[in-house]
Amino acid sequence: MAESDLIDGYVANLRGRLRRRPDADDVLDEVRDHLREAVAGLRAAGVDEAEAQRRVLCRFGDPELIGRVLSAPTSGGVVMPSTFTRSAGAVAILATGLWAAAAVLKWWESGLFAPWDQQRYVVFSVIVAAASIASVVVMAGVLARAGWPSPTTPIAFVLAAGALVGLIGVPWMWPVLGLLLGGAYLITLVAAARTTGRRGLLAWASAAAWPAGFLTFALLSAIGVGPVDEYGGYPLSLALGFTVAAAGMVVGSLDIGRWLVTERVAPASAVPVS
Amino acid sequence: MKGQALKGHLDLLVLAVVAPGPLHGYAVIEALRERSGDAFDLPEGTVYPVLHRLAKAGLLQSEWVEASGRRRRTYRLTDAGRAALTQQHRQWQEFADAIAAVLKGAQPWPNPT
Repeated sequence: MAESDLIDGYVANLRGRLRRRPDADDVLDEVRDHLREAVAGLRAAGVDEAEAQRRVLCRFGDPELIGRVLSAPTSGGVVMPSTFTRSAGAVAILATGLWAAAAVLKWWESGLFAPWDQQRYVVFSVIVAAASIASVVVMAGVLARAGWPSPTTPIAFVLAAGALVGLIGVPWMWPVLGLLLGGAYLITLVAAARTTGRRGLLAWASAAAWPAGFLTFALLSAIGVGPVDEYGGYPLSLALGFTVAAAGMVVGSLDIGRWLVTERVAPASAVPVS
Repeated sequence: MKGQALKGHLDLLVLAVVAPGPLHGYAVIEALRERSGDAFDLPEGTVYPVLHRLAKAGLLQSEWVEASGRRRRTYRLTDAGRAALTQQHRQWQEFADAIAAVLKGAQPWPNPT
């Protein structure tokens, strides 16, 4: 077999998978250098050329896998805890309390126990706004912990921004707007699981919260649970649905908070590693 | 070591092996394997996204050199990379000490006493 046949073939295979990458030539030069040096090492140990190439390529990795990881957009962060992620963990604990308070206030302003009052609605709106802002900060903390993966980061922030504007401006539309926040959390947690390897299940409650709340509200409204208000709505369905969503955010925020806040970061003045 | 267990720590490990001096990708993989006593054994090509990400984050700086008639890209730790490594090294040491302390007091089951 002609020398470097297998390596040249492997590199050509990779080139086809990296055509969207602007620095593909540089990456392939790196790969080629790696493979040739590895082969040289095995040849020096007495392995013949063909066998050395086979072993090296086997150790380097399946070209489909390597092509996929090399062609993925490079994020700008590192997969490590930081002062910011730890602070986001503290905000997550705060968000836990805010969402719990919002759930209680939802029943208070629902009109189920007393005529609906504008002032109660304003108080509820403020707490929902604060909880939503806190949750977006927490989401940013998880993204930072995952190394700001691309394209998850910009997509998550777009969804979260949409949810935030809506939940601050028109919190009564939470059944729909909450789905945007749930979507932002879903893709954030998927990216974090992929890069950090964390497998905690409770954090996923944050992603499931809003779909679960929406479904609860929709189902109960469809079957006509509770009294009907003057707008033809079902305040009991709204209150129950929001409570389900808020409960999910409480559970998820608490788990995320415990994760991020317990990853301690040593002070910058620590003795350098020798 | 299983790949999933290594995920999330690879950035730190790569910074650690590059700390003593500039290395190219193959040398990074060899250093990881050697210093871990062959415990860390992953597809070698997967080290390159890590190196590129760390370079983009400013924790590593790369340069091209000529070696054996080929272009070779070497990576070295930046000041920011050294600071990040120091922080994480301390954190791991505290974690390891805590684990060791707990395991030291562990009794086999059933308790022979």
